[in-house]
Amino acid sequence: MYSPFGIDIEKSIEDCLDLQKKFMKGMENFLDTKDTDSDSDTTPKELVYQEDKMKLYHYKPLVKNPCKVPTLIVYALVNRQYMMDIQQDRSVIKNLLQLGLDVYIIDWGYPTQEDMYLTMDDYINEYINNAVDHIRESEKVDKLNVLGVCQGGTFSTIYSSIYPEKVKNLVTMVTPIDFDVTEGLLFKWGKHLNIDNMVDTYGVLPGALMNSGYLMLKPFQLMLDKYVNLFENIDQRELVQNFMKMEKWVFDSPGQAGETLRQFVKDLYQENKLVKGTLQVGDKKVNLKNINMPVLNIYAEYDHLVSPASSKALNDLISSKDKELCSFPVGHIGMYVSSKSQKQMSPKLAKWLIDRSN
Amino acid sequence: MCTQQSDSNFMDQYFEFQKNMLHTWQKSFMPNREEKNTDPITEKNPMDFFNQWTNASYDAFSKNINFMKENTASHGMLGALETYQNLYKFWNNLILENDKAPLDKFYSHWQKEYTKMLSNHFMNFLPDSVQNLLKDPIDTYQMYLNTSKNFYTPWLNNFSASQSLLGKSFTGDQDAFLDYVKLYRKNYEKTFGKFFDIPALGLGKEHFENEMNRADAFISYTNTVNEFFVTIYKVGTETMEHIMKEYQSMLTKGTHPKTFKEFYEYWWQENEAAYTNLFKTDDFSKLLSQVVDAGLILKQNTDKFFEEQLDFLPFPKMSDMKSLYKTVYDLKKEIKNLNKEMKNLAKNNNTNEMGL
Repeated sequence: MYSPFGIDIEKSIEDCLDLQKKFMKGMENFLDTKDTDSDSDTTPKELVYQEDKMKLYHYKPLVKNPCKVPTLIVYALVNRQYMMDIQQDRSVIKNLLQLGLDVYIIDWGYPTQEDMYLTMDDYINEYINNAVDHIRESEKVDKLNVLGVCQGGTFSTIYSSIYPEKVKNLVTMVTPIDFDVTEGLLFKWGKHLNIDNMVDTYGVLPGALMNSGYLMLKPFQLMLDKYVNLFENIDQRELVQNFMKMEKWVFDSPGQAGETLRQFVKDLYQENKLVKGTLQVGDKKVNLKNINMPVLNIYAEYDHLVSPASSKALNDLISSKDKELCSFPVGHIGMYVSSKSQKQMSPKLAKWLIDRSN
Repeated sequence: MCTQQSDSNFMDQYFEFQKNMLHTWQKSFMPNREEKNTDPITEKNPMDFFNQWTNASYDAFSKNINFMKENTASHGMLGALETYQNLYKFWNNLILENDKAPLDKFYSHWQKEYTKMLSNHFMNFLPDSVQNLLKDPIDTYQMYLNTSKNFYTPWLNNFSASQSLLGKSFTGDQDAFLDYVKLYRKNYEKTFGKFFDIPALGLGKEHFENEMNRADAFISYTNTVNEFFVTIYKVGTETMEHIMKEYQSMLTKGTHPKTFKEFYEYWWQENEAAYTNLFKTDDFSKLLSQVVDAGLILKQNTDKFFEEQLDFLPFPKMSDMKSLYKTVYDLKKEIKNLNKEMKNLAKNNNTNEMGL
């Protein structure tokens, strides 16, 4: 049924009725939304080491004889590491444990003003290095596998080039390496950012401020269409529940220690020192050629935060003979939460590590 | 207590909503004879019905999730819902006016509304503190006005003229914006500019210089923010114009979106593409950097102002705390290094003893 205005009235009314029904059901779903903080929703883990706000957790193995070389996950300072274990039916951590890995993870915590002077030197040469040493001592191994995610991947790469003797295998996921790329708005905007002013003003940069920048990368998709899609599926209880979990994670943004961010933006985003070989962290020079262990470099084909070109660059800059580039047709976050990626990415990752951990 | 109140609100809203729905149904599907006689266009009723119904649905839903406002997710959701609802009004007008009124009349009416809609949408990205700063520039202005003893008085004389130009510029009138900036600059040079050049003397020297810096920071901030939002709105209104033209062309071919849902999909994707193109430019990157920088300088000056005002109170200030944090950080680092050295020494001693 078309009106003179070219509108399909019948279909529009159907849409309308459908929406009405969904909204009614959706209200019930919202009122029933469970608290997402409960530990029962996460894979069991134990706190094994703590230094200032950094905590190192060890996940309870889910197989009888897990891989002898433990794997340490280093997450980004931006957002929280629990994204890798956010839904039990799609948990990367749970999958990796079930596939036989022995997994540790670093929780960076929430920096407060007293942490404003923490530098990349503190994060890499102290926190990561101390966590690695703790695992090496407690597990009685010389080397362990390091799996870095996003900015955590950049830190892990830097770590592996400074301490190659402690890293058996390196896996980088959606990791920015080359910051002088034309794709990706963050790389473009980062070039012009007056980070000195930002750090001097705030000390610890508020997470909400950082989030505003990320949301602006896709203003209509992330601040409108995402919610419209939710409205359209609001009658599905599980979907609403999962959406709320993800939403909580998205806006659970810790502040950023100013001095670390200052060096990260200046030396990497603006001067691309990691690729140029001129980066120095504390008193250690960073030379990517020192990376000689097996490397698996995983990137997302539709990543709007870390462009594939930036991640792919790593394999040409290291001296490892055993190196592999691997991609999945997902976005930055989809790498961890999409069921498509879960079916392929975790098995691929676990097998790659186990094959090289003997 | 709070939950009870929310639940009771929810039930009230729910019953009110049901009542409205029935009323809408009655009005739409059972029109009285008089209405039928006076309106020969039979399509009016289904469209009115559609319009009222959809609005009622959105309103009810947004009111009912309103009590969850403290939750960030629902906060974002409410913003999205508002934009979605406004877009619906736009679409509704577009399809109705398309046949009846000249496009330019529609365009001029919607320019303002559309800008408001975009403004709401982009405001949703910002943290609350920044939103307040942007939403209430007059309040901020007032605050400075009071604290600097009417230092800004000359500016108020030209306030309405500049605001009128600013208003025009927000609808995409670039000439008006340029005039606004020129007027601003002229006022600035006539008033503050002269003051800034006067060498500060005597006891109030430091205070005076700080006031100068604050005034300068505020002016730079408002100028940059205005330029930033004009750039954002300009792309929005240009895209709206493009959508309207393309919609007309699709209408003649019969390929136009047939439902609001289809129109929405088409609308947001066109907008996303337009904004991505803007964001990719070097000019926008520089402008974004400038606006962030101007905001930061303003914040630095505001912080300093509050520190000065609280100086006589027995509380540590942020600058005192920063110094303390640095001392604690350095000490902590030193202790960690000493611990490491002791651990290594103990390790070496053990090795030596075992060797012996």
